[in-house]
Amino acid sequence: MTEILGSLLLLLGVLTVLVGGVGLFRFPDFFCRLHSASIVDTLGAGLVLLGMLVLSGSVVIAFKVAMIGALIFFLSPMTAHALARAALRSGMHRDKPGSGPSTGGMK
Amino acid sequence: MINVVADVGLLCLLLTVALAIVCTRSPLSLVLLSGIYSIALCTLFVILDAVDVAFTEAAVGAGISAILFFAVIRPEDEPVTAFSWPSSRAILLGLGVGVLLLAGTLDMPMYGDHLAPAHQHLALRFLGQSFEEIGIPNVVTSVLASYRGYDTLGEVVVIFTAGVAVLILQPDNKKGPAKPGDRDRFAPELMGNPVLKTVLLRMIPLVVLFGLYVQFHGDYGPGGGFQAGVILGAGVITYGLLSSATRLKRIISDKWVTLGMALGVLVYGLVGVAGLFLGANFLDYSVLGPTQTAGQHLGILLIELGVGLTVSCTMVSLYYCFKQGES
Repeated sequence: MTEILGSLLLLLGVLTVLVGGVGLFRFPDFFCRLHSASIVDTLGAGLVLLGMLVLSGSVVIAFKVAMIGALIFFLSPMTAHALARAALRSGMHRDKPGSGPSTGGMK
Repeated sequence: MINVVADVGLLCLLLTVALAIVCTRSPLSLVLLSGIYSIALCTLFVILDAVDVAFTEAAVGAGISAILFFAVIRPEDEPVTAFSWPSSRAILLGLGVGVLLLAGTLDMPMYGDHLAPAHQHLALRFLGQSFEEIGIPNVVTSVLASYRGYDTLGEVVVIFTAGVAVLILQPDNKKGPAKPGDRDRFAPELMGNPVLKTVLLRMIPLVVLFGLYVQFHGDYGPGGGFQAGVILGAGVITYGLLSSATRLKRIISDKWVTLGMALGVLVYGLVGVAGLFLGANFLDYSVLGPTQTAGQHLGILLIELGVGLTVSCTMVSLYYCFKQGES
């Protein structure tokens, strides 16, 4: 039972990472791509870690995985926020044409 | 099978990032690419079961060295064209050295070859007898701290010397006022960002706790003084980044940091000398306790403390030196 649940969570996580990866390449501008990338390292990594937590089978390892999960849960959205804010502050706007990610945040 | 796929993928990533580093002309991209390189390398180390090295690579390569570089690069230095191929002479030289290095690897034993010279001789004794002789499960720590204690003392002295050299070379900013352009060269708003501040300030105690865990758990799992030192240093530096180096200096003054650098080496050396006084060789911990393994435990604990102190203080001291201009 736990094996099926853990595998399902892992599979769901991998699918999320895949979808996020496709989005990273297909979306038109920096902010859309950031949205997709942050899904990979928050939801994708979170689901994979949750699956590992279910499959770990030992309290010590489960605790460590849970700690990593908690860190990622707080740090990944923060990173995405910092990136978006930095991009906005350095003059990158969604509606401005030609503000693609290839120019980067620097002027 | 999955390891081979991961290895090949990571090595391809390393090659791509290295090529990008060669071609980039922008200091900012260079720092960010070096960080990516370090993280990929760190993952490779984890796959090779060298978790101790991976710790250090992640904390120093991707963390502290990037922070130090950010302290010295300026937005004015960003070139108009971010990427261009290096000159043909540089490419030729690089290719030439690369071919020589590849030729050099032909003589090396195959990856994972159990008959390789490194896996004969002493390695067998370390793996077979270190638990009886030293009494701690992590063979890496046994070899590093006890069998090769003298080499490790040398490494700590190297880190100490490097820290002292940077202290000597730093410009003396006390004479003149700091230039206004020196402060917060990149994105000052990022440091005042409330979300970053709220989350990261609460992470610092966790980082310090993790550093202490790595320090004292080094006998049983991957870790030890070097890794704990860089993690602790990174935690302290994070506070400096969130407020300012000046405020950090008010909590941990640079005098104490410099003292800590020297104190770590002193502790290490004194443990060695204590062995001499108790009638054994320099850095032989067996005589420090009632039994051989108890003595080894105590000696390893003390020298790892010395290593951790020197490494963490050197990291913070480097940060202070590079942040001199900030007021």
